[in-house]
Parts: sequence; C-alpha cells; structure tokens
Amino acid sequence: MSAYLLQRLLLTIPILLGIVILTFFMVHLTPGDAVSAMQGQMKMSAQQMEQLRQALGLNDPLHVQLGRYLMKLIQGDLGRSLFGGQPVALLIASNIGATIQLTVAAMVVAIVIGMPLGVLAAIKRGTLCDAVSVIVAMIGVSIPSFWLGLMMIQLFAVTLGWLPITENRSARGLIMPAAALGLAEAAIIVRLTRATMVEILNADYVRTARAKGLLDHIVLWRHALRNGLLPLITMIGMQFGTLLGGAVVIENVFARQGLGTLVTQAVINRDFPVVQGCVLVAATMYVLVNLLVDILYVVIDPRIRYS
Amino acid sequence: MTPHAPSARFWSILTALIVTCSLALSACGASPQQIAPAPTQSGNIAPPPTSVPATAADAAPAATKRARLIFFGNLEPASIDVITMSGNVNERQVAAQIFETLVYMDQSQQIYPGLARAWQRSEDATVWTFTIASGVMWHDGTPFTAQSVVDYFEYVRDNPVGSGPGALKAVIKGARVIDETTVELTLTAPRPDLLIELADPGMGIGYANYVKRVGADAGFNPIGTGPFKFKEWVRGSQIVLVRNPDWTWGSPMFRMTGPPLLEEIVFRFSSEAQTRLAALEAGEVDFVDLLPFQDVVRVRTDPRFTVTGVLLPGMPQMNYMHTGLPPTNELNVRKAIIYATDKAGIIESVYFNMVEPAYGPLSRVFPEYEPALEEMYEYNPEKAMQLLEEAGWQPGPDGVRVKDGRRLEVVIVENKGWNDWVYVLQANLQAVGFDAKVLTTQGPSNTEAIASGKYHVPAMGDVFASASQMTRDWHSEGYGTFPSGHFLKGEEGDRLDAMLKDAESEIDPEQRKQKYRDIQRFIMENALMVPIFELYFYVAHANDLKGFIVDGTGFYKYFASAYFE
Amino acid sequence: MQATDAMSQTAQQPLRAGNTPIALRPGAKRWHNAFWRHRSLLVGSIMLSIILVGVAFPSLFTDRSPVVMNIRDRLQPPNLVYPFGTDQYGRDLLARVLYGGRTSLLMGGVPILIAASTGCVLGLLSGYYGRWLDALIMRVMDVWIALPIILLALTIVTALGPGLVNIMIAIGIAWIPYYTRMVRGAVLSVREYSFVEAARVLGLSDGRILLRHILPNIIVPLIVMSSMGIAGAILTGASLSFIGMGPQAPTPEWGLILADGRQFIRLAWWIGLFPGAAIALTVLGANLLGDGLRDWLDPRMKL
Repeated sequence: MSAYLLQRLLLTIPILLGIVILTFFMVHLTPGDAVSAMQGQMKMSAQQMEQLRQALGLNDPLHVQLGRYLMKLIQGDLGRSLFGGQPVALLIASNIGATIQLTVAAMVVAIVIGMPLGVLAAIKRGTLCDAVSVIVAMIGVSIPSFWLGLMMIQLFAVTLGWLPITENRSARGLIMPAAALGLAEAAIIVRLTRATMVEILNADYVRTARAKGLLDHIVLWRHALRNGLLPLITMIGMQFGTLLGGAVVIENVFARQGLGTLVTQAVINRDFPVVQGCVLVAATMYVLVNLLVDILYVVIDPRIRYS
Repeated sequence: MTPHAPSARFWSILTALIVTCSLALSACGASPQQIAPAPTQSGNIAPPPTSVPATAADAAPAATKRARLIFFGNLEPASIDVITMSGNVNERQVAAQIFETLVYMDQSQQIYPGLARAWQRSEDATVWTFTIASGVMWHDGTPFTAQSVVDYFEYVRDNPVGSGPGALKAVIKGARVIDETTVELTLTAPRPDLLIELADPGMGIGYANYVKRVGADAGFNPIGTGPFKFKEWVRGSQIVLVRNPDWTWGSPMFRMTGPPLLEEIVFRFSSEAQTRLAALEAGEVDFVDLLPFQDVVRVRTDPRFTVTGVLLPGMPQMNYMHTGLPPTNELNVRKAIIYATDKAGIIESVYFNMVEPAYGPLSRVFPEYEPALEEMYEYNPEKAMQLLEEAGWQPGPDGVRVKDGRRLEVVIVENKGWNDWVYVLQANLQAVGFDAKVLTTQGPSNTEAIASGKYHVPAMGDVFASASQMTRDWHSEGYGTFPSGHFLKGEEGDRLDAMLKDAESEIDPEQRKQKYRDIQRFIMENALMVPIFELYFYVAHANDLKGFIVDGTGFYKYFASAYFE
Repeated sequence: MQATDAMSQTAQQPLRAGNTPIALRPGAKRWHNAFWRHRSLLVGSIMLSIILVGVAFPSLFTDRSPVVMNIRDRLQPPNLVYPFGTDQYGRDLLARVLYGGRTSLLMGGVPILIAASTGCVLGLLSGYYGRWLDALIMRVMDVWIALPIILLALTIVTALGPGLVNIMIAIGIAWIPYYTRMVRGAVLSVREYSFVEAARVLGLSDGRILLRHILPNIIVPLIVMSSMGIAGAILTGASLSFIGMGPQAPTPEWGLILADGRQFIRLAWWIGLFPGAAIALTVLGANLLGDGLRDWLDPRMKL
C-alpha cells in the first residue's frame, strides 16, 4: 500500500509545480505592469519607478522571474502585496481561516442534507418521493448560490430580522453564508448520490444478497452503502474545488472577510502577488484534499491497492 | 411614494475619492457655521498661542467612565505607518492617534503647536524654522530630537512615499538641524500655507530610521510619538491601540498635561454600511464613520447618538471636459453639457438630497469662493440644444447630433463606486442629442484611463483645506503621477497654469482671494468643468463620548483628550 | 462503399466499452414517441425557447429601453406600469432583464464554444495518438483542472482586465480540460473497435478516420455536455459579473443587475429577485435539456 501512496504523493509534486507555473504565466499575461499599477497609490517620479522596477526584478526575462519566484516559494515567501507591502503569506494566513470555516460548514450542510435525500431517492426509485427529490435537486443545481444568499438576506435579515446581514466572527454570522453555499452544493450531492446508489442497488451482488433472503436494511447498510461510500468520497473531493470557487462569491455577497474578498480586491487593484498567492494556495488545498480522498479510498477498500 | 434614502454606495464614493486624492491640508477652510480668519500671511507669523483661549468648553475631567473606545471605519487599512502607508482616510484616522504632527488645526481653523512649539518663516515662505518640543520620546524609548524631524523630511524627499507626505515631497529642498531643538526646512517653492498642510494627520512625523531598518513592515508595527501606542493588529478583525503612559508633551490643543484618559482604542472595519450601523445601534461600538444617508434621519432621532454632518472642503464632485479632443474642444459643446446636467435630479436620485449642488472648482466654504458662479449656469436642456444647434450640430437620423459627417460622441470616465452620478449625466446628455458612453474603471485603471487623455469627460473630485491646493487638480504638471491639468490645451491651458502659479505664491490675503476668484471665473466662463455637488459625509457617535477633537477638514478625529462621562 | 456505409451507420450509435453496438432503426413514429416520453427534454426545450424568444425579441414584451432613466420613477416596486419595478435610476427592470439576457446568454454560449472546440481537438489528439502526446496533454489537463474555475477566471481577468470579452475568454479557457477529458474518454472507448481497425487496414488516413468514424461517436456526449456546460457557464459568468469582473455598467447583464440588488436590498427587493429568477430558469432549462438529451440519446451514458 505504501508504494501506491508514495506514488500518489510523488505525482502531486509535478502537479503543484505545474500550478505554480500556470498561475505565474497567466498573471503575467497582463499588458500593464505591476509598477504602473501602483501609481494611484504611491507618489513616484519616473526615475523612482524605474528603480522600483529594477528592485522588483521586473526587467528580467520571464523565466528568470519564474525561477526567482520558485526559489522564494520553497522558502515560504509568497512575495509582498503591491498595496501596502504586507507579506502575501501573512495576508493569506489571516484570511484563510474564515474561508475554510465557510467551506467546511457548507460541505457539512451539503452532505447532511444531500446524502440521505439521495439515498432515499435511490431506494424509492420510481415513486413520487423520488420524483420530488429529483425535481428539487434539479432546481437546486440551477439556482445561483449568490442569488440564494441574497434572497436569504432579504428574508431573514431585512424582513424578519432574525439574523444579521453580515457578521464576520460569530457562528450566527456563518449560518446564512454556509446555508447559501451548502444548499446549492446539496442539490449536486443529491443527484450524484442517487445516481451512484441506483447503480449499486442494481448490481449483481446486491441482488444476490437480497435473493439470499437478507433483510433489506442489512443489505443496504452493509453492502450497498459501504460500496457507495467510495465514489461518494471521490465526488466530495472533486466538489471541494467548486465550493472554493463558490466561497469566493458568497463571501462577497455577505461581505465576509476571507480569501474570497481578499482575492477579489486584489484583482481589482491588479495586485498580482496577492492574486497569484491566493490561487496557488486554493489550488494546493484542492490537490491535497483530493490526495487525502485517494488515501481514504485505499484505506477503505484494500482492493484498489492492487490495481 | 418612492423612499428617499441614500445609497450606501455613496460612502464608498466618498472614501475612494479621498483615497485617490491626497489630503494635504492647507490654510483656509471655513467651517459651515463661521468664516475662519485667514492664517496670518505677513512676513513674520504671529507667535503661536501658549495657552488655549478660555472657552466655555469643559476642561478634561480626571477620569473616564469607560476605558475603551471602539471605532468602526469602513475599510481596513493596508498599512498604518505615516511614511509607508498609501494615505487613505482609514489609515490616516488610525495614524492620527499613533503619530503627531508638527502643528495641529482644529475645526475652527485655529492652528496649535504640536511637536513644533514655535515657528518662523522667511518673507518668501520658502525657509521655515521650527522649535521642537523637548522631552519627546518615540514609543520604543528613543529620544525624539530635531534630528528625527530632519531624518523624516529627508526620507520623504528621497524615497517613494504615500499620499500623505507625498504632497510635500516635490517641494522639499532640504532640512537641517540648527541645534538640539531647532530645525530649518527649505522648500523649492513658496508655500504660505505650509502649516495647514503640516497639520494633516498624514503628515505626522514618522520614524525614518525605523522605517529604513524594517521597511514595509513598519506599516504593521508602527512606532510613533503619539498619545496611543500600537498594540496589535488582528487582520480582518481589529487594530488595537493602547495608551502611551509617557505622553506628557501633548499639543496645547488637547488641554492635557498627561497621558490620555482612554486606555484602549479598538478600530474595526467593515465595508458593509449596514453592519456598522447595526453595531452602533446594538451598542457594540461607540463611533461610526460614514453613515449611509438613508439611515441618517433615523439615527438622528435616536437619543443615544449624536450625528454630525460635515461638508468636506476641496474640489466638489465634478467632471473635467477635455479641451483637446473633439467635440469637447468646442466651447458651445462644453457649455451645452453644463446646461444639460440636471444637478437637482442627481442629488435627489443618487444622493437622496443629502448633499448640495456645486457651481465651480472650489467648495463654497473657502473664503476664496466666488458666489457669482451660482448665477452663471442653470439646468436648461433647451438652452443646451440651442447652443449645439448654433455650433452646427444638427439632429441626426437616430437622435444623435451630427456635424460635417461626425457624430456628437463623448466618453465619460467613471471610477467605479465613486462617481455614481455619471449614469444620470449620461442620460441627461443623451436627452439633448449626445451619444454619451460611460467607461467604467477602478483604482489603477482609472488613473491610467484619465492619464491617457483619450476620454472627454472624466469624473473627479478632491478634498483639501486650502484653495492653493487646487493647483494639483488644474495645473498641467499634474500632481505626482496624476496628470490633472492636461485636459486643458493651448492658450487656455497656459493661461490657467500661469494664474495658478501666481495665486499660489501670493502672500497678501486680499490679492490672493481676488486671484482665486479670477481663476474660478476663468474656469467656469471657459466651461472647463461640469460642477455637480458638494461632498458631505455623516458620522455618528454615542452620546457619552466627549472631549474628542475634530481636525480642520472636519474629517479626522483625535481621541487623545476623549473620555466617556 | 457498401461495407463502409454499414459500418458508419453502426458507428452512428453511441458505444460503450464492453457493450455491443445496438442498431436502432430510426422510424419517424418511434422518434416522435421517444421525444414526448422524455418529459425533461420537453420541459427544458420549452423553457429555453420562451427565454430565447424573450431575449431575442424584447420588443414583444416591452417597449421601454433598458438604459433610459426616469429619475422620478426610481425604486418603484412591481406595478402595472413597470411589471418588474424600477431600479435606482428609474430604469425599467423588465427591459433590463430582457436585454440583459442577451449578454448573459452570450456569456454562456461563447465560452462553451471555445472550450468545446479546443477540448475536442486536444481530446481527439490525446485519445487517438496516445503514448507521450496523451501523457503530456493529460498531465497538463490535471494541472488545469486543479484550479477552481472561478479562481482561474479571476486570474485571467487580473491580467487582462474586466469586460465581457475577457470574461468569455477566461471561462472558455477554464472549461477546456473538462471537454478534453470527456472527448479523450469517448475516443478511447471507440478506438479499439474493429471498424476503426478495419479502416486503418484499408488505408484510410488518420484524418479521415477521425472525422468520419470517431467524431460521430463523440457528438452525442459532446452535445449533452455542452448543454450542461452552457448552464454552468451562465452561472459562472453571472457570478463573475456579480463581483464586478464582467461587462461594465450600464450594459445590462443579469449578474450585474443582481449586484445592484445587493446594494439596495433594504429598499428594493425586486431588483435582486427578477434577474436571479431569470438566471435560475435559464440554467434550469439548459440542465433539463441536457438531462433529457442524454436520456433520449443514450440512457446509459454516465454524465
């Protein structure tokens, strides 16, 4: 098993490297220049701008700049923000907690609501219950999560006054954003769960178990779910990326401090180091989560090791 | 029928406006209630007051009921060291407590000694001599001397700095130590209003040697000489300042001989106006900046809070008109634009009648304001159309006017979130036959777009406390890297440049007023801008908070002498 | 040639590895029944048609302009004069939603076109030629997919600046790996079939094989994926416009109008309601259509 895991782990490195290179080049597509973007903030003479360019190494060829960036990256230095000079690593570290909080909370909401409904729909396939959940899931997938958030604010904060419009630090402030993001995600999970479970329930070994006379719920729990767990976990890993993206928008809707608002503001300011850093960190998290999922997969189902 | 509530977005307009423009305070900004005496401009300035004139106001009491003040601003600063910060309003607000300026100015435009106890200047206002207070210490215990001041000015002169000291950067020739407590500052050009500029919180004397040592990190761990020391900054959450127990050299403006009464000031930030408001009304914070208009009336009626509305002096919200690009190179077209603009409509719809119309390049609170401007133009779309027809612009097939085969097209540049009125302006112009487009930019791209000189009607505004600051918005050299004046080409441009330079260095106050009045008339007669409205903003604070002092622009609050009763 | 035609006819049917191809005899009656039987296809098509008509011919539904301001009428709730109410400048919201649909739908369609065509080419190359080319392309796709779509789009917007065209390019680029993978998978499942082998033996050029034999087999999954892709792209586009990265005011666009709705949430709930409903209905329609197409054309497809 360790051989497989080691292999997976090693594979992660070129992917991460690829992400760094990709983001670096995308960010440097820009026609403008980092220093000219700073003009609105700092008063500099043309000579000083040139000096700054030299200091920041902006006049070097791209691959040299990339190499420099990689060297610093290994040491944990993500550069400094162009607007204020804070270390990007510090900015990200202070903001990432809130985003992880939101993403995890949304995932929990999505799983807790989505999975049971999906399983239920699969079991009761063909009945009204199934049809209803399919329709609801379909609608849920189509609703923009930020619109859902907006409507929630309208209802719960403005009209009813039960919840604050936005609050950064308390659990109360987390309810609506997590719900908005999570419900949209739940719909996706319902569909995926249902599809997976339907396939499993029709599989040979389940039919055999039933034919053997095993009670339905034992069949369900011991055989079906256990096998269904695996593709579901994989799904969840893949959805993490979507959730991260969704968190960016939701944070803007609810004016929550986090990676999302940080990166949005950085994009507006054309603060390249910050944007680069945020995307890098987000992608890395995604890759790591998927790695974790792969590991869990192997741990749960020993058969995989040998394939 | 329709609710009259101002958009919360206005506050971002305000903030961003102030962010873009440097707040270099100069002399002369009358408060709405009274016309302030102009600062003495004669050869030797009147000696600074050694004691504060006795007023009916109370002397600071010995104790405060609550030790902690919570202030809710609208945008978290990026950096709070006076030298390294970019200089937006929130940064200056925090820096005002940590650092001290050479002089202070309160809302009545009275100048007080600060770190400088006395001052003198040369006849031509280019050489200034300051006597520094003794016994001053930096927060890290190092003594603050005349050398510290010299280090500061030299650093500003030689390095990229934010918009606070940036205002003076171009004119600093040099500074030198005369003796332990005396500094001589030499400027490259006369600055009669230097004191007013120096009173801006962005001009607090920064710790140059420290900044040289730690670079940009100084912004997250600033060391100053002020009444409050930096304690901690939890990003996304709050900035905490604590009382400086060694502070015994405070400006007489504070009427205190010892450290502040408050133990702690906590700054929190949220861009969401409703959050700030909710926190205030829940009693969680004591001071809220930038109240949204729609809530002003409601909060005013709440007995727990006091709401203050302040008109920010400077250049009102307006649009430049590019005299070098057709069709705005034609006088009639420019005049037509002014006549077509429905100021009242803008003020009502976008700003919910919480601001006032403007008529020229200077705010009405300046002594140099020219009231005759108010009679020059009015909202008159028929007259606008008439002017266009006289100039040969006839209505075309699709409603847009044409002349010699060309369409009447203009592009309005907007700095997103700050110039919301442009959409109404666009509609107004289209109603009289323009094909008006809006180019939306933000922050750096806004500077770029305006600098490119490709667009006819960029939106702008500025805040400053002395009329002489209008040079930066109108002179062809622009201001730092912001090319303001290049919209004026040819004769008009040159003439205006000359008038501005002349007025700026005018020592005699009456002559000065006259010159600035001429400039305003020149600008409006040649229709070089579209005036829209005067900037107002509102703050609210808990009633039991007393003793804080508001600065000369009316914007910044000093909490050294604040207490809760 | 007779043999080739029969083979290509068989090749028209979507294939799954391990399953033998099914030769359906398309008869008009059978087709007709199938269409009506698949409700989601029907509902989806109807929804989209209505929306398309509304967006393409707004003058049928309103004679107001989306940009004209009637300041005195601002912030009116839905009423007889303004069915969707007015915004903060007094602009008719119904007109704005209808005209805005054009931009929003464009933001859904164009990126998918970009992604589908590029992904198709890459997937075909990767799946057909295999070996190092396949490995290279797939590794690049792995990296590409690791970046969440919105963040990828934001990065591109940082470089190029906000605006309609840039957003479309950004979303298009973000979707490429999904198409590449899908096409590659479909190509792989078809490649091993004897008719392809036969075509090679017969000396047909690679290009011909790709075009005439392989491509028809990937058309169906391509269509289904595109239908859902358009739904996703509209959502992503609206999200990006909402945070200000897309087309700039005063161009009406659903996400942009929603952002205004956020601004005025206390005063005017209708500004946020209608564009959001429009997005939801359009996306729902596209999803239903995609689901329906899949069910109709190949119920066994795992998409």
